[in-house]
Amino acid sequence: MALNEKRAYLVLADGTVFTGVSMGVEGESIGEVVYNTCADSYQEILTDPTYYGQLVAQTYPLVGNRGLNCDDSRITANGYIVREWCNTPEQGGVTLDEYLKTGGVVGISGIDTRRLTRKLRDKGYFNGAITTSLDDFDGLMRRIKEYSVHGAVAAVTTDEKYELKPEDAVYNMAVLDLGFPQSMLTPFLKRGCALTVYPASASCEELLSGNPDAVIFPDGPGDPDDDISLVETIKSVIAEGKPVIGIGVGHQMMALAVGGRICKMPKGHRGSNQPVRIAGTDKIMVTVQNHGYDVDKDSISSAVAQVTLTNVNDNSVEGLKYLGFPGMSVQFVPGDNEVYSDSSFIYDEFIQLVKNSKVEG
Amino acid sequence: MKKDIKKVLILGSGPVVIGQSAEFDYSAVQACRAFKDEGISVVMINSNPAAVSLGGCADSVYIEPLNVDIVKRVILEEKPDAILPTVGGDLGLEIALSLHQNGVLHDNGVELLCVTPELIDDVQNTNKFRDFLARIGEPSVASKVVGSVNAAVDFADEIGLPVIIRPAYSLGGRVDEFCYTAEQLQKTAEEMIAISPLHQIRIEKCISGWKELEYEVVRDCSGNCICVSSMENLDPVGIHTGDSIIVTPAQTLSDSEGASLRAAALKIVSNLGVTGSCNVQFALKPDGSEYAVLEVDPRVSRSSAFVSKATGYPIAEVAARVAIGYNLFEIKNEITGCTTACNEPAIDYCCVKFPKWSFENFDKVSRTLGTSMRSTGETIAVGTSFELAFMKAVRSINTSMLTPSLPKFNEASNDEIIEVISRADNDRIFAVYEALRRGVEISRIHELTKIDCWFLSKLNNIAKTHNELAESLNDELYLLARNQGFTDEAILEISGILPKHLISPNYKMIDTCAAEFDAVHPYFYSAWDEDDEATMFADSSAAGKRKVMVIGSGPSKVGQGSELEFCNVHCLDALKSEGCYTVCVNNNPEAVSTDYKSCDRLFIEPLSFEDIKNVADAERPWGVIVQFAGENSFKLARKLEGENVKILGADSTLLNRIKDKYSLTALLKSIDVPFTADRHLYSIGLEVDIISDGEDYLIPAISEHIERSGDVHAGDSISVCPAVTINEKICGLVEDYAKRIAEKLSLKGILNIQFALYDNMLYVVGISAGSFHNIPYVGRATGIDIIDIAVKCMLGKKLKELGCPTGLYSGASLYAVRVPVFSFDKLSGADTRLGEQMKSTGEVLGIAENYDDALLKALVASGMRIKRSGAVLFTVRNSDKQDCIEVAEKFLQLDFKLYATSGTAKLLNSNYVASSSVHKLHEESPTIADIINSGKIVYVVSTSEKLPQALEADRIIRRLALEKQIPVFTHLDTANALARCLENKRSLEDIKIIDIKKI
Repeated sequence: MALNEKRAYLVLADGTVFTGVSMGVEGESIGEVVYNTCADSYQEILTDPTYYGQLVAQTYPLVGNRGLNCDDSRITANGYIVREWCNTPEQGGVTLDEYLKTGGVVGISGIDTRRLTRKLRDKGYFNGAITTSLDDFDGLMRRIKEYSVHGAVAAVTTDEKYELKPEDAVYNMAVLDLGFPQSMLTPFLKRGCALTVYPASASCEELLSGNPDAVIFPDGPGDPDDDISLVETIKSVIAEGKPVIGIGVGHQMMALAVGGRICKMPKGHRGSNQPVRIAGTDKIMVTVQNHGYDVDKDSISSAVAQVTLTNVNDNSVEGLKYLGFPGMSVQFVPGDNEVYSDSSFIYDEFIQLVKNSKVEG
Repeated sequence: MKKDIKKVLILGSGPVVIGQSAEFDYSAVQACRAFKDEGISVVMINSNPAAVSLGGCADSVYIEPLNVDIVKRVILEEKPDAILPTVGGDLGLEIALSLHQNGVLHDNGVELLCVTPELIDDVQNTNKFRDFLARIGEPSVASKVVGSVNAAVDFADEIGLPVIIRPAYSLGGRVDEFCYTAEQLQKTAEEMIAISPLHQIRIEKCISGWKELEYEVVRDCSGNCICVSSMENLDPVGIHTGDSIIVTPAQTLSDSEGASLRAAALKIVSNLGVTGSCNVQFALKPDGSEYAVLEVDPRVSRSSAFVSKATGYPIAEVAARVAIGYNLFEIKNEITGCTTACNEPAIDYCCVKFPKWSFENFDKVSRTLGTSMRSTGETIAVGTSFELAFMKAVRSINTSMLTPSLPKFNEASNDEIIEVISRADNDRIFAVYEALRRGVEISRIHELTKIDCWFLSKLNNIAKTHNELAESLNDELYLLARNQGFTDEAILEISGILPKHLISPNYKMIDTCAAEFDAVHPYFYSAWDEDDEATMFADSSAAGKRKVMVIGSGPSKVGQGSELEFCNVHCLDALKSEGCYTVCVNNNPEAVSTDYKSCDRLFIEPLSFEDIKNVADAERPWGVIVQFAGENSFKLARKLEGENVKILGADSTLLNRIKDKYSLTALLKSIDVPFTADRHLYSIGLEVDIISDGEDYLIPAISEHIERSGDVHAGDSISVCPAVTINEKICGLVEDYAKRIAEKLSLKGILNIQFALYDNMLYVVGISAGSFHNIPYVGRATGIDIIDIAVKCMLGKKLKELGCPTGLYSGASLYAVRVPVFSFDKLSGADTRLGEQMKSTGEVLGIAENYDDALLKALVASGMRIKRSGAVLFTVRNSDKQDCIEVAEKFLQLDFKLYATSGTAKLLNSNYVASSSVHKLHEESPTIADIINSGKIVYVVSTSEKLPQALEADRIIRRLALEKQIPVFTHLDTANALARCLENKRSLEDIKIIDIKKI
């Protein structure tokens, strides 16, 4: 550690202390400690609202090599943990350190992130803190243990409703903002969907006020059962018979809305290489995921929904097709790369669902 | 759904040459293992006796020349259901394509695995490949074949200067030319159109300096496609990937650049329809605005081997399984035990690949790097930072290099350093390092090299630490230096002191998943964290076993190649079969020994003493085998013994007694064995390997070198076993001397002994504990698993206990001829004359019922273009003139026309051997060069006086012949052997193919 560097600590709920170097702003930040195995999506992770309330650790050791773009610095993670950040980024970007400072986020570097990952993997969930002071250790431990992510959605949802319109819009859809990354809407816009995005507090009536062709429940941060009113809203929308799609936390809330259960997973799905299989076929897709809860397979009867996608590693539910109403949901954000994508068909299927429903209606 | 396949033929890749090394052998081993695991019987064909894949699990093994006719004969003999061509390099694909085109596959109901004929054609044919890319909307580098200067200028206007001009149908020799100005273009185009046989040239957009990236993709027959890893070349486009320093994963891409290249790779592989593995190579404009597809290889490759080792994902094995119908998600990941082959590996470290060149073995060779590959091997280094991995890589390519600082640059001026940096030879990276140490701006170096500033700033971090160490040392700096990969030895050398408390590294796992899952069979690399995962991962199967550590031989180079790797792998197998727990340390990504399945615990580390000592400290082995580590082994044995580590096999006591002329003289005198250090001209070279258990001994065979006299390195000699020209008395004497030596040295293991027979007197000329070039071929010929027996003797087993024969083995019924293979075409400028320095990169073997047939097989397998008519050119040194008469006469009687330089011609003619005289190079026409250029000559016999001027003139002749693909013999005996072959009037069709498993 050079002279101008300040020591920082990562403290876990079990009392483990990792000593590293302060990065970003100094101070204390508490959150759920999670890892991510992506090698180069650092800026995308930092600005992804689904990381709200979390201290994110990168398993890949060299972070920020290309620098970060300061135009987009709405960091939602509570803190950032890396082994090494690059102090000589290229192409006009800022360093990770500068970026975190701009975003007012506490970070730590120089720790053995592999050891951290192993602990998180073996022990399941951990709260933790990044701090530059261990003076009040007992107090800190108490704060860590007491911490839980609450009001995550409320913290990241839009204040006002807003509209996004592609040229030649064919469909009109409502989006309940549960705290999704903006890029998530692109596949819908590309497919001719005009979108009206509502704050999470919107009621069923508001969501349907524009007579949308469908309603989107996108991904977001926090526990799916943190705010039961959201599930109630979804339940009401479903009852209206509009086509709906749930993505990520939206997928989990839809399951809750039909009486399913949500479980905390032993280690969650965190990274860019989660293999998902299309049920009943030999097709797989490689997906990017960040979630620690999943839908309990046994809680959804086959009369209610059909499991369309499963995780190859742990056989968990990755996608559902509802039978009683025009609805589908997926646990991850399907990729929609124009050059090659193995999961963009999910958007197409949904559009087809909307189209069919329009014809029928 | 698994296909109904009962027998598969695997095509090997032939001898090791530059550009095609052991990586295919490693892949073939994986494929073979996968097939056997599925209950499929495996037939292997390869001409390279040192290929590990020929041993072990294959059911039938053919060591035969690799060509369409022979493979067809194997198909007719073995009737396989399918053929796997993708572990045989480009040659494998070409043979497969021919077998399809001539109907052999169809007629015999043989399925082609992994690829289709159309696919092979699409990627191997430049124009079809461009069409394919255009069809799927992927960009290639703009290029066009033109036949006039005007057309060249027009096209260059269209794509912009600079451009590269390549001969459209190259015969080798002429390299690509860069044109930066209109004048250059005009002039070069004119020249090259004139010399091109079809008067055509290819104009290509110059993308030198673009980033060069590779993606390894695996696809199954359901169309599921994953990207195993990305790679980024530190050296931008312009230097062949095989000569580039490479990191994995890619380091300097933005998220969107990485995502779009990955997507493009997946799209290309899907559209090609590969069922197996595929490598896609891209060039990316540094600003990210544009990319182009450079190359697609629908087979395993150097890169797939590197990525397999870097990630733990066994690409060739997965490819073999998907080829027989498995889906990726049906193939278990054996490192985690709980994930499958459809999980893209997540890695939490950085890997550096560093090329190894063997230029020091060649006179006059050009060291400049460019678009044609020059390196003979490579190394892989793993670290938690680029700095750590890079420093390890430097030690891995050269164990005596402590830092990237080359002594020869210490004295050089700044201008000289800058000159080397601009020129791009094999030492460029070290010149860059020197420049950084001297404070040359990163931006300046970037301008000269186009190496991305990220890499330069990382190198600068190392250089800064180096400079600081030279100033003073404190604990903080020590820790930093250790973290960046400086060894204690390096720190001591630079700063003159070491701190009181030294630290040693811990070991982290390579587990395919960045610790997301528990690992059941990981492997390890050193780092500087608190946790030691090697200790934490205590393998219960180790309990109660003797733990033996085997030191590998590192990157392949001339003189230290696949035969050592062969020994290491067989050594590990022998140890396992004796119930030992095996630990292997090595860093050659192409090797089988760096496959985590080859041993119980694998460490990817440099092979310097300090690195090995650290592993030994952590692992506490019962014994260590260093004998197969190459030139390093003597030093290692001595130093490890100094640390109270037990050395099995050749230890320093033994090595000391045979290390030089003086010790040998003393040793041999004491047992009445004649010794000479001067190898007599015209002596017959004989060689044996002797295994001893301390009581009994076994000599598998006596080999004889075709080239008499000691001025050709034993590894470069054509060698035959059993020896053909010596009588029983000499055989007995060889055995007796070898036995006395083994007894005197109390040998428990294996030694190589070289003899010279001169004037009916037998002398020992050398004893080596590290020379194994004969082991693979003698083993194949005799069916004796030499290393297996030797290693068991090292462990204390007795030959009798093992049920082995003793004495000089006489049970072999076949003749085997080993022919060395050279890569002179890849080493521009290098003299092809053989000498005391070894020059061959690989070897082939011919096995037959008699010597002549075996020799013919081996010569064909070596790639020699055997012609039965035409003209032979002789230019021989004075001492060869007399012997030349007999050889020339043989060719004359075979109806060859003879040409010779004036002196030789005069002598031949005066001995009634009709020959035409040609002038020397600088004399008036017709000169030697004219006659070679005329196309009449089919063989050149060129032996040189050891005088600089004569050598240089002859070198030019030999290079010219090489360019014309005319075989050149630099020793009369080699030419004589060929003549004998031709006299025999037999061709390959007349000779049986042999399954050596049935011997």
